[in-house]
Amino acid sequence: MTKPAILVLFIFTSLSQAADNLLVTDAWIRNLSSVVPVRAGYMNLSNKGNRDLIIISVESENFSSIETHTSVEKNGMISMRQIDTLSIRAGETLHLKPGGVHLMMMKPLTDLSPGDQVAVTLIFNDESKQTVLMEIRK
Amino acid sequence: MKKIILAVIVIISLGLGFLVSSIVSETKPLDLESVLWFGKQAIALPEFSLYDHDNRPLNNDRLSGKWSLIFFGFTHCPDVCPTSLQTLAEMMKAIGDKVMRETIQVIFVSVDPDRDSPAILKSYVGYFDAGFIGATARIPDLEVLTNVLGIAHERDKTSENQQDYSVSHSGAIVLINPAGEYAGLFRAPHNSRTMASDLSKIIARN
Repeated sequence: MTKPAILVLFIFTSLSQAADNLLVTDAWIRNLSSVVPVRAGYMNLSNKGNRDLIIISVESENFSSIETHTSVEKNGMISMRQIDTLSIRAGETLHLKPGGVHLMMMKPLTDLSPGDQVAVTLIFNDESKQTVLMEIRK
Repeated sequence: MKKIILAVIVIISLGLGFLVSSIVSETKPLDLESVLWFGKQAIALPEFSLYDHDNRPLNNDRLSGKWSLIFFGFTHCPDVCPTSLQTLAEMMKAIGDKVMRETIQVIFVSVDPDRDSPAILKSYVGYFDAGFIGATARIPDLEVLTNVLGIAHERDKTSENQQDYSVSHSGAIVLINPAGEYAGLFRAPHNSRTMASDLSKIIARN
């Protein structure tokens, strides 16, 4: 490989964004009666890159706001605690699942039914973004 | 003569053995995976009075004659409460025996009476299973029941917004027997199959 080619490759690698290395699977939102103004969202976040990834916020046009929370059990009592960021270590998978880390999705702005797909945008600490489709499930 | 005596002793011994083994199998502890079963140590409940999702009284009488599974939570809880109620809905489906299923009632008691009106509770629990019952009461009335069941609940004080507060609560599901006594406790995390299997064993034995 010529020197310029190596240089181009190097620049390309260093410019790769956080969003390029994240594989999102099994992304879903549990549907509830429309009288309830909050939903929980779950997904598997797999970091395929060699650097840790940090998601600093999550947005969707279908919800007024989205926070990241974790359900924690202490002395038999379950509490919800807000967490500032979602960190996914290089090569590892973070599972957002019932009873653990989840997206707390406030005030659905549209009618949602099982089978619908909702676009949700993950925003990383390098300001790159990744939009994923989350399925509404009963 | 000796042979006859020996034969009689053998027959009596076999009979006694059979009798003993059948008594032992009657009292053999149930093989349960998911529930802490109190058996004969079931605890009588004090007189309590909640109201259900149709604004009818939900008191000791409503627990009489049925196996009741009670989960305490609140509708603004997006993760643990829906997960537990969905598990209970799947547990009901997993109990194949219709007659047995009709002896079971699932009650969701909201520990957040300020936000959870009967109408909201009705729509909320009905989404999981049309047969589920929603109920609540003023906090002092709830505590008559939760204190004896050991079910902790507390409105979080850290919430900035008065409307968006969260409530910490026990993740356990309480089992009440048809005599209206506290008979067992399913601890979180819950699994519909093991719950269905354990409950079927308990109902079949009692």
